[in-house]
Amino acid sequence: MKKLSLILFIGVLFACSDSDECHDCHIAWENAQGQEVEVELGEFCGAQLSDLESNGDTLAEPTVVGMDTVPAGYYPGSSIHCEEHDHAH
Amino acid sequence: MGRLLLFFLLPSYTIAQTLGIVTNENNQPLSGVEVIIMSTATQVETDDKGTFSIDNSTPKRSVLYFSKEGYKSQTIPFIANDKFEITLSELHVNIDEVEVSSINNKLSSNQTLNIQSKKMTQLNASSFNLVESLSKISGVEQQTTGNGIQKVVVRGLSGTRVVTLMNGTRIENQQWGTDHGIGVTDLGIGKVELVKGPASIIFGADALGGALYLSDESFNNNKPLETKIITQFESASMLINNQIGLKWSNKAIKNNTLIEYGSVADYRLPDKTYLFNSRYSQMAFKTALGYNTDKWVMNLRYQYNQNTMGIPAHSHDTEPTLDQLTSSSQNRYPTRPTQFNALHLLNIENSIYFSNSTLKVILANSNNRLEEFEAWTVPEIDVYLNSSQLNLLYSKPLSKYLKWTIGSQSGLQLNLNQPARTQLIANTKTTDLGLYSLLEYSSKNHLSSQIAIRIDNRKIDLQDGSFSKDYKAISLSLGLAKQWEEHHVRMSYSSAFRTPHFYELLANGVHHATRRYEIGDKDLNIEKGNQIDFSYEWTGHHLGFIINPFYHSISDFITLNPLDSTIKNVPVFRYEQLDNVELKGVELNIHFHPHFAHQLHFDIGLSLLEGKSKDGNFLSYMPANNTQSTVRYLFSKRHKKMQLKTVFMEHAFHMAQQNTAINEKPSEAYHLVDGGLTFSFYKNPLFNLTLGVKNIFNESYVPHLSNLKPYIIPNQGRSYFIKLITNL
Repeated sequence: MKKLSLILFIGVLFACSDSDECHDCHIAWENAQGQEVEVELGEFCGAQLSDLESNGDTLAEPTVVGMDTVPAGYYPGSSIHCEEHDHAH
Repeated sequence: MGRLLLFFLLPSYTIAQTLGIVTNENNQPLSGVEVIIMSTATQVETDDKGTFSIDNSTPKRSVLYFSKEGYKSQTIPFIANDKFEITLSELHVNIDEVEVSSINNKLSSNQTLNIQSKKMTQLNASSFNLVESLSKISGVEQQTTGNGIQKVVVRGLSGTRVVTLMNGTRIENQQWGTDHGIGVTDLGIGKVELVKGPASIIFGADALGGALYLSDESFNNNKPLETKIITQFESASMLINNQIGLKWSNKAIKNNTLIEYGSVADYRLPDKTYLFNSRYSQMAFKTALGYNTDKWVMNLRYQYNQNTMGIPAHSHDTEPTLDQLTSSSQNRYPTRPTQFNALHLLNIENSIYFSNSTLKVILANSNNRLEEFEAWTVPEIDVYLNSSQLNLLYSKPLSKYLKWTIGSQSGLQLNLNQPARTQLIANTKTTDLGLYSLLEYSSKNHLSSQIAIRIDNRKIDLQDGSFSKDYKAISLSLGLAKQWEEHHVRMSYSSAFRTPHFYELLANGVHHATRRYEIGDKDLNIEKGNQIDFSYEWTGHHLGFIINPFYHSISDFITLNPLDSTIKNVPVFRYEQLDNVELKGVELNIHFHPHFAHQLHFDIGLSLLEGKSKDGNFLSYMPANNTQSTVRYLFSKRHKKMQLKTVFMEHAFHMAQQNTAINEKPSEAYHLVDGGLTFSFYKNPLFNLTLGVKNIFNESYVPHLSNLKPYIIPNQGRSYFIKLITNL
């Protein structure tokens, strides 16, 4: 019985896991110098996140980011990057 | 139905047993001697009187392997109702471990091929994963992407050139990618065997650089439930790993069941920052069921491994800075990019013992799924790799000294893409058939020789019918070994081949994990290797050494070369072939055991290697020359409640590697020093505790075979570790 309890206790310890469902996303656009320019889209969660990453997003009008202007148009899922929250430098 | 009933009733029978005794040269009984019955993978141990018993249901002529630390191992054939009296002679110097091979049941001292056998416990005192443990063997290195993704490199060759087998079944695990690790952990592995150099004769296509053969721990013999819990912690990566193993046996039926969970956070660099996304987690389950009569042995094994691997140093910038790739905080939860790798391995092994011959049939299936995510919800690639294998082996002694073996290996492998953003390779089908014949001679005056030939055919088909190609190859192997007094000489010639992997033939797309656009070539030919290997061992009373030079020539060597272009802002690489490459090197091992301090042991290993193409260019990712030294002090057994068992110190010196390929960065020399203590508590023992420090001097070093070398990201800094083994 003691053995069984010990095994169950350790088994419970194994099953500890967590994940973050929401992420800040941006359109990644490459400028003429080959540098990545980011157009922030905001935070997406769950099904909305899945939809954005699968189907991409449309930028309704040109967006100015610093010295660059990201053109309006459709950006596929591969152009969407969603970040982790805690990459602290 | 009758047989099924018999299967369940057998355990309740009282099975007759054969008794034996093991003594030392002074005729004193030896307790704690491991006696392994190789045919049934079952272990018994001698008691305080040196006696042991073996069920008479054990197949006739099964090899019995006797081993105890500090004594010379022995093998004898099992004969029911014989009274075994075994004498083990004391061994002062143990330079080339005298282990018995699971591949051919031969002691290492009788091997004609270069097969090194090591118990897992000999390798993993201060390492926390399988590949790191293996890299302590001379001539073996690890190619790494952080702590989690590791591949075995044997004499400079790795990936699809080194096959990995688990209990005789090939593990098919998308080894084509430099960022795809070995896929299994050390859970329940009792022994590791490494064939250095061409091994196609035994293992078929692809075993050009060698083979890694992993064997599960033995079953117990007729023992009630035995539980082993292993808990490990390491500070630099906050590694936590727990394994629980249960073993039980009841006469003819035996079972081992094990489970593991491990979680590792981003590792700490010597400058106290953390390598972002070097985190990973592993889960594994393994169960094995063994049953035998005196004419039939059946082992059914299943294992599942699930790995979640962060891919560190991933950036969309052409030249990311170290600051972009590191972090000031440590985290263990999965982020992106991440690989998810799941492997199911099912294996049924049947051995039938006829009056004067043996037939072994192995039927196995390996099902692997690899998903690589750069986004959170949509995979970049998602591929199933399903492999079924059927191996037949028939062996028969032709005379007292001559044994003949014939065998076949056949396989069917399907590569099936699932919906994902990228499809690197189309769906493919690979079929294999290999036939071989092997003749072995062993005389009583310690002369052994072997000659073998093998014919293979591999067919690769694209499922849409746009590509189909047959590859045929013949492999040869010749070996000779002779032992007299303190000298032991072995020489061998072996050839092997590797067909181009379907990825090398058909790739055309971005491999996100490595940030490369890779292009295959449908016209690639078979790689063919020829190796000459020689070893000389001398064992004195307090000193021993073994020197092992080799020369390996490979024609049509496939290599991935950078092109001076980009597609989708990603550098382009293409698979190409070099006419001929040469790998040559020497491995030297010295064991010193001073007369005045019997418990003090010095081991020194040296590995030298050079890899060049015919046109004089060095090959990429060739291991740096290195030495590995270990000092151990083994304390005498004192039957106390707590006892200090061993103090050890390990030093590795990796020389600078300036012999690099075009566009490859050289690497600097570095020293690594690890150390530790092991204790045992209570009888049997109830607890075994190892405390230690890795990278004691917090050396900042970038191994030559690190995939993080282009970014000059060092391996982890100083780290403290604890390993506790509880035997219940």
